[in-house]
Amino acid sequence: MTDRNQTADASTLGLGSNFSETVAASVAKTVVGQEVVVERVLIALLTGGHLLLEGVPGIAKTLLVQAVGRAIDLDFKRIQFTIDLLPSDIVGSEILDPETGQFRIHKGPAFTNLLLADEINRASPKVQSALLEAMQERRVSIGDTTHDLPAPFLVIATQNPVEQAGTFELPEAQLDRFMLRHRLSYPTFDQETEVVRRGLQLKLKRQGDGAVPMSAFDAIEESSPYHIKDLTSAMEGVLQVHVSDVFVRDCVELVTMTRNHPDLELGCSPRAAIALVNASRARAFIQGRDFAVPEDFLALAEDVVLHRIRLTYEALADGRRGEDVLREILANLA
Amino acid sequence: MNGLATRFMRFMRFMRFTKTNGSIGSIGSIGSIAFTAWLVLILPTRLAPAASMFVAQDMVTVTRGITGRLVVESEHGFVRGRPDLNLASPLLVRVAGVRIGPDRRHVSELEFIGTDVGEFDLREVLVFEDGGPIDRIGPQMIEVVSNLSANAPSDVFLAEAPSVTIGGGYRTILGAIGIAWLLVPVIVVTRRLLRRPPPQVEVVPPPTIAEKIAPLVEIAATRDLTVAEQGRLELLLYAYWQERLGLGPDRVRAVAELRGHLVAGRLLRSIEAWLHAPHQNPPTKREISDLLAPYLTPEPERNA
Repeated sequence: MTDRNQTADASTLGLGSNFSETVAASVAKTVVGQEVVVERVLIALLTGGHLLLEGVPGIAKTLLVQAVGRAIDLDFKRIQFTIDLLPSDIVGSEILDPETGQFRIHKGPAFTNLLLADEINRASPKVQSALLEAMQERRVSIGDTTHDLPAPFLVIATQNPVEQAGTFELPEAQLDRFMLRHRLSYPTFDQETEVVRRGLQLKLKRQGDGAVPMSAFDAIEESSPYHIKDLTSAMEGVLQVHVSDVFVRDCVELVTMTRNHPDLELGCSPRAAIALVNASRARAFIQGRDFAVPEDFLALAEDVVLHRIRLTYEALADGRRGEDVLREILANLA
Repeated sequence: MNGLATRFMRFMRFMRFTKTNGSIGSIGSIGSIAFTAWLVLILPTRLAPAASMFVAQDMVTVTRGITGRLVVESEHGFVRGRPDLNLASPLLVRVAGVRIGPDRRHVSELEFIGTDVGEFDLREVLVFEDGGPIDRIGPQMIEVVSNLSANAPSDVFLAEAPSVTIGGGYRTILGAIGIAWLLVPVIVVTRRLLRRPPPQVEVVPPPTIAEKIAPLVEIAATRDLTVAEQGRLELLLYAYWQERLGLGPDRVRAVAELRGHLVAGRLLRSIEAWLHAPHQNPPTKREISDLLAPYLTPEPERNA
């Protein structure tokens, strides 16, 4: 009988587990807990998908993303989305150089490896679609010229699920562009205690004769254990993870069941099945396996499926939630 | 004389000075002026020959069933209705009032109802109080007309009975309703008493997870399972262990726990390796049979 340890390529397995463990350890120096979120960010990085993080303010979303970016030496940029943001504020624009009298390209913050789109639902739909188009095509047009975005290019967008006044909810078609949507929860009691303790250890940051208190962002390690080429190697390692026919069948079965469930008005698209398989592959790599198992897609089902389904009016009136329906589908999956 | 009075009455109707239930003695002020003028200016010239015998009355027209009024003056006494009148009589009359006029004449104010259409002399239903002959007063002509069609019911005193009656009237209907009210519970109770118990339906319990697994395990021993059968078998094995170990309905949490379980985890990881790992040499049927052997005779135990 073939076993995992017998079939696994030692170098691949070592790379996968070492990569994820090292990045997680680097992030853990700055961020307490949130191991699952780190795993999801890594999955997005390894598969080239994009990630939507949902959570209340103050649970270290920005800090975590910046720490992950620093751990892999990725260029990081952050945009705070507001109602008056323009597409050119993201992708860039042509500006007239007064010295030469020529137009020159001013590249926007989209030209980065890791772009944090904070509170994406606060921008107008025009700006949202400009970003989502860049996410999809990985290139932007400024004036008459099309520019490729850097590789890797990953967008991590955040949404605040509480304050919905004055926001533009992302439609399902645009939500579908995000490979994963993860909902962050509050840290546990012990984790929060540790967060406060770490805050007490922060010193002053001196600037000339003055000083400002250090923030958690200042505590992020400057050195990076990995670089972009390591990420590329890891991405290649993910592609070597074996996905069996049985596994593919399970994923397609799950997605199909969302389309036939009576409580669901809108089920998952084929893009969801692709995302589920790819994300599971990356998770298997992170877990040190060279093949995906059902636990992978089961663990990722909520993040892949929930933002792609829409409940019927009757189900909403009955107080049903997407989580309940998905749990029911997974329980009946056979 | 009669024709003259009739023409006058038509004139009055045209002018709307009287109504069909009115009478000469009860006309209004305008009608009185017209009537007085007619009496003073025209009538004396026409009635001169008869004036020596009676003060003739003009024909009064009333609608059938509607009360009409008439004033009879006589120097011989008051008049009243014949005592033998009944509802079958064509005319019914009552005395509305009596008085002595300024010229010492007896004035009887009469009200009457005509039940049949036609022309009548009211004297036929009147008698003097002293029992004297009624022809001591002149003809009191009245015309009873009908506004209804010829086929309309003719009885003015009784309501028309419905063309179709249920049973025999109100009491019969009430009795029938009462009987029906009593019969309903009697019928219901009787039917329940007589109802036979429904035949016993054999309830076939849904197959258990172990029963679903068994055929797939047997097939695996004889031939290669299809991809769908393999996937179904694996998910059923998760469900089997999930139920057997009492891990609750949450499949995601249960599978994560199962993979770390001492017994179940080892068996399930072997299945995963068989179904999902890349193979250079696929497992033999014997190896697969050994792998699935624990599920051929599963023991129902919880929290193993």
